[in-house]
Amino acid sequence: MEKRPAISVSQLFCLLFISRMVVSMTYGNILIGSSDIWDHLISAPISAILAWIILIPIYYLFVLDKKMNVLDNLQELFGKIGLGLIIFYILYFLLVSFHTVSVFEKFIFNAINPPISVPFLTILLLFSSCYGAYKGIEAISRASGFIFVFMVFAMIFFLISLISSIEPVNYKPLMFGGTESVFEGIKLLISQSSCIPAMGVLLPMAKGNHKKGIIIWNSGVYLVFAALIMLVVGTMGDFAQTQLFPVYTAAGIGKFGSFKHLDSLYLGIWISGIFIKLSLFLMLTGEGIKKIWGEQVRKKSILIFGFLISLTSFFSDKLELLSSPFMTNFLIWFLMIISVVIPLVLILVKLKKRRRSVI
Amino acid sequence: MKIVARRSILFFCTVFLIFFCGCSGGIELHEKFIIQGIAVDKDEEKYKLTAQAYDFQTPKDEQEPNIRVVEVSGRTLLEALDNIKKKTSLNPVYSQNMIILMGEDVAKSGVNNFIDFFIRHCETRPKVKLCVCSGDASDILKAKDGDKTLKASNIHDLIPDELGSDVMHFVGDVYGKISDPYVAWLDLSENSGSKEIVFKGVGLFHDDVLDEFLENDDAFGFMIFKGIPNFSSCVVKNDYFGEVTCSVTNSDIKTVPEIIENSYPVFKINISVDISAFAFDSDYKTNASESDIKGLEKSIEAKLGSIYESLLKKITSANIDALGFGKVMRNSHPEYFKKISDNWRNIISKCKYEVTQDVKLSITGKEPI
Repeated sequence: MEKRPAISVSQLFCLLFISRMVVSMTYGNILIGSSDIWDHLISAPISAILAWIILIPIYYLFVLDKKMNVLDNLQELFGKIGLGLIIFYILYFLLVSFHTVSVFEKFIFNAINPPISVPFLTILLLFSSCYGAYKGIEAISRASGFIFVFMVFAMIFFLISLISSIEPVNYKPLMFGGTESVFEGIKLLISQSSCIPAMGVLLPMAKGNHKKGIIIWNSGVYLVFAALIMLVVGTMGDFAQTQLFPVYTAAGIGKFGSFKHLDSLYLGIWISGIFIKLSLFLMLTGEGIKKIWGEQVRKKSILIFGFLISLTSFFSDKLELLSSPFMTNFLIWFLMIISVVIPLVLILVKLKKRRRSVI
Repeated sequence: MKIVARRSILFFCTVFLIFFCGCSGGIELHEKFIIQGIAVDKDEEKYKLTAQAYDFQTPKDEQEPNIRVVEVSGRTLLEALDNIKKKTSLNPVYSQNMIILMGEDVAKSGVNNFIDFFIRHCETRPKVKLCVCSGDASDILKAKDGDKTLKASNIHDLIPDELGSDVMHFVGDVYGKISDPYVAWLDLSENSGSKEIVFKGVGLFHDDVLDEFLENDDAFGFMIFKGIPNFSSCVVKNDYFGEVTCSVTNSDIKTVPEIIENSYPVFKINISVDISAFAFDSDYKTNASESDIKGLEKSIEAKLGSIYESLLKKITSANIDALGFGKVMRNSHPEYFKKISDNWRNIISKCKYEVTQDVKLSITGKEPI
């Protein structure tokens, strides 16, 4: 078996935390449609539990052989068919990258509307992300360490700046409009859990206490998400429903001493987060490619995929589907297949093989 | 191969540095029209817009930019705003805008007709203060104290943040369809030749349409309900002290709705007020007893009681929920509110409002009482 790059568990979960926060920070009308964001406060703990459950097959597969990731297992247990199944993982990681870029473009176009062209910004972002992916997990996780610290401080600052603007009357009873929004919230939150399949590839690369890492990471992600909802709804009330990116709008309201208009802080951490997420998922795509076609093709494929994703910026109006609510159901099914079904089958086959070898 | 790759990277980096550094195409400060305040009025079928902005083309001195007021018009607000560039050849910047003033006519014709720009545009901010003016709003933005234009930032400072007279609260209330929005009411008064802008009270809206103004005691009461201290003074008559001038330093409102079967709900409102008496119209009464001070407290309670009663009557009889009773009802009795939510606006006037008071009087000053 090839020598794997090694990072620590804390580095891994910093990386995954940042990737997940990118989603939480753009949570709003563009993803949730007319669903009531306040009810997603109930969706958050339910989704956290579901995420743990969905993670079990991938974690158990990892526990069976801590040196092998999902892709290695597929190759070893299923041979050529396994290599074919790896394509599913490649497609999923690519889809997540496309989705991330699509949301990024929508955000830049609607909330910032900068004087320079959006496709150019996207190309720049992808160019740097490709470089990150090309350098590998160690480089990305080192960068994510800095960004994580920056992100945590920004979040604390964000919390302090908004807490005095909270109006308790904005907190209406949960599920006031029925339970529909809660279910929609669960679906959305789970569909955006792209870190779970990523863990299938990344867990063997990390050294340390994985179980503890998973628990802290998952709790942290959903706690921060719940805190963001509390802040957004508490400060903006019904106005939040009129905003495409309510977390960004809330950042603009924040005031702390002489500090005002903290949206620039938001932009800083969010774009850094996008860079990390894209680098990570392009790297994961490359890992899949490497498994099938080898290291040389991996390097080239990262650039090719980066180029392909950058093309979305020129056809973004035709690729609305990528950031549309329809995508939610599709992502859930895809997630279930590659995080639950395939790992479960792998576990069964692996256990069967082990029993046979014992006999 | 490695050398080729490195050279290619170096080449691309150089190209990026030269052509895409972000400086080309940037707008210089003197080419910007940094809007500080916008007044919106209606002139027949057109929107008349007055913008006060920093003019860096002709600065006053090295320290201070000039304040420039521009008037434009258009069939829609956006068309009017576009005309700023045509008229000044400068690029309007909205991110520094602090206040939007609405003329009475435009507020009465419906704010939804033009507010969308201030919600949607990427440069505008939700906490921009929104207020209404009796007559034309442009008069306020053009007002001069001597030869100096009254700055939009000073007008902005007149309105306390806690009042929630901003785009965010206004749009939230209109969108939420439970509470009615309100905004600060500014007026222009002339005092020995120079013009002054006065924070006169509040303008109450039905949905997005201006319904009525609250001033004097009604506005004073409204500010107590909204927790805005020191809006104005209140004069209380007392047998022992004569006329006493007081100001509210703090107020805390607790509203508990009660549902009564086969009848309309009752809102039990407890208003705790810290009040400071600071001027006594009497003959240096330095030996006031505790009962005299208690008597003054009673007089203040009676005065405030009549203010609250008048305010509640005025607002609720117009079926306006500017004090947020609907939201309180929704939060405490959600199931009941679901049943009445469609008809809530018609029920407001039929509900009962019972006010209880806690007045904490403090007599301040160097003079003994």
